[in-house]
Amino acid sequence: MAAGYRTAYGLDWAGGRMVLARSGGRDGADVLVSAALDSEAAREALAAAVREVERGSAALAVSAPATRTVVRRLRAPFASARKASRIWPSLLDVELPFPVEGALCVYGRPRVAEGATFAVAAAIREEDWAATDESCAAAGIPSTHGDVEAAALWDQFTVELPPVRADTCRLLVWLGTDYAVVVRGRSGELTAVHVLRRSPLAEEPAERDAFDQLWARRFGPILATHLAESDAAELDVWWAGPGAEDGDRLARLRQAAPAGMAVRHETVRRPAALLARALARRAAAGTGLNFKTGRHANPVHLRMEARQRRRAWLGVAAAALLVLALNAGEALQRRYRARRLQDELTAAAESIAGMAVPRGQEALMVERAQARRDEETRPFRTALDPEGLESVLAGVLADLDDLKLDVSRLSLSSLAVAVEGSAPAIQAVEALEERLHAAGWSVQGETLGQTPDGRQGFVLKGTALP
Amino acid sequence: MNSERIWTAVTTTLAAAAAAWTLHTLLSAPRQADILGRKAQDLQRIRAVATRWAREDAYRAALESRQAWRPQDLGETATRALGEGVARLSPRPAAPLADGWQLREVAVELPGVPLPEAAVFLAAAGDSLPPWRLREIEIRAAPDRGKGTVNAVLEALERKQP
Repeated sequence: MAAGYRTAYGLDWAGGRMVLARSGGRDGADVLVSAALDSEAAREALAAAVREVERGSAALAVSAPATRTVVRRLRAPFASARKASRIWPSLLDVELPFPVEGALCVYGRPRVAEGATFAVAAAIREEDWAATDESCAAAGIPSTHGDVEAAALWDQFTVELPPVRADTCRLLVWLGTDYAVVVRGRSGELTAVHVLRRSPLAEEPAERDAFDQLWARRFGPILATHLAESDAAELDVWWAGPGAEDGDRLARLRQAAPAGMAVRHETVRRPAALLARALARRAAAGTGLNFKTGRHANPVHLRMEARQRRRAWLGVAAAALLVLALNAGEALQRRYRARRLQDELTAAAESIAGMAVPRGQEALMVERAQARRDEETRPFRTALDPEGLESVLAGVLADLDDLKLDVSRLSLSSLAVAVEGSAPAIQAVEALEERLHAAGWSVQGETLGQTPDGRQGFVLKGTALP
Repeated sequence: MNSERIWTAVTTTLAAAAAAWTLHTLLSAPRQADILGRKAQDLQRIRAVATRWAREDAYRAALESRQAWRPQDLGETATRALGEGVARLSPRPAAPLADGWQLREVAVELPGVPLPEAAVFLAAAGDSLPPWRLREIEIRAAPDRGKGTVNAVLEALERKQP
């Protein structure tokens, strides 16, 4: 059952009476009217609901009669809801008293537990549902949802009265106008449904006796079966439906419970409106089952679903457009940054190279221009240098004088130095070598033997260290 | 049904385009960042180069503001320091530099001169704007102590007066 309605109405109509409830969400449902179908209040409330439904702003849920619906709890022997969903029709088929091909089947939300997958399934013959739908249409009820009565009752019951313990063994008896439904469950899970096809509200003695006999025959075994299947020692029986509003009737029906069986009896709040509340809440929350799908679907409901799909597509399209816009913005910004950086780079390179610089050649062109400019400006650096080659010369001359070396030839440039002469001893030559090295020259020395006056001849040659 | 198909097609196309472009943006981002990073580095390096000759440019501007277009006459300086006809000067061809400036070089030969006087000459040559600066030198000692032959190359900046 698709969600998407902000408001949903639940309608339970039978025996000339109707209960209409409205739900605005998941929290619950309020009963709007509970009156005879032909009363003014009922007609007005129903007309207002129908107007909303026809506008597509509200859902209207009715239920398929339990007497014509088969409800089963299916079990797939593996813990995979996806795999299980493929075999639900086969599992349900063997449970049905009619061919599955001619039936409408719906499946509840699967639950994986203890290595298996469970789901509640319901089926109704197509012609039975068509008859129900036609009777609704004839009564001016354009329903959008056809829920499963027993499942809806149990669901609402567990929402309104959640089980106290996980193993709580409970039973819900719905005393409807034309039949009674007994829903069995353990904890919050529906386990089985029994339908008693006699009216619990019959006033004629013969009819009432017939129901009482049927009840007396079935109630005890149902309780015993439930206790046995649940492996429980006690259970709670909750009563609901229009028949549960009559205390005498309840007292009479309770007596059918076997003596010695630990059974507690309770009645739900506003018992006659439990089904209407269930239908409204499940339709609004989108948690119920719905036979009104496919070719049985209400055109208003289909339009609503189509509108929702379009809205969803529109949302996706808007999100995609937003993402595209963000990407475009990022690309533009990136391109702008790259262009601005390139412009700055080109301008800087051209200011140094002094000519147009092709894109990507900036570093190379600047490198070449730098080498050229370094050479062009070298004389300016030389002129600026406070020391210069003069200072180097003065330093070398001072060292020669200090070491008492006689020089016959001295040559000096920024790249090379050469000294030729004589020294009082070899140590003086070595000392000069060290001093020149310290001053930034790579020096190689050579001794030339003794001069006539007994001094040590030498030649030193050096190149500037890088 | 048709409109549903159109909606589906349009939305799917838009979503696919958005996903593809986003993927492209994410995948190309590191390469783009790398390119931008390299350009920024180049720009930083080039900007650093631009200030590399600031001292030289400032010096040239100072010469121009003081109208120091050419160095002192080297012949006159040699005469003052060493006496008439001692120094033999051989000018070399000038080499062009930037902005109309050129490099002048002169080979100087001082045969058999007292070395202190040669030093005075070199100092005097450098004491002008633009200065004559020593480029290379060779000193050969003479038999007389304190004397020798000096061969030197001096260089100076020069610009034709605008």
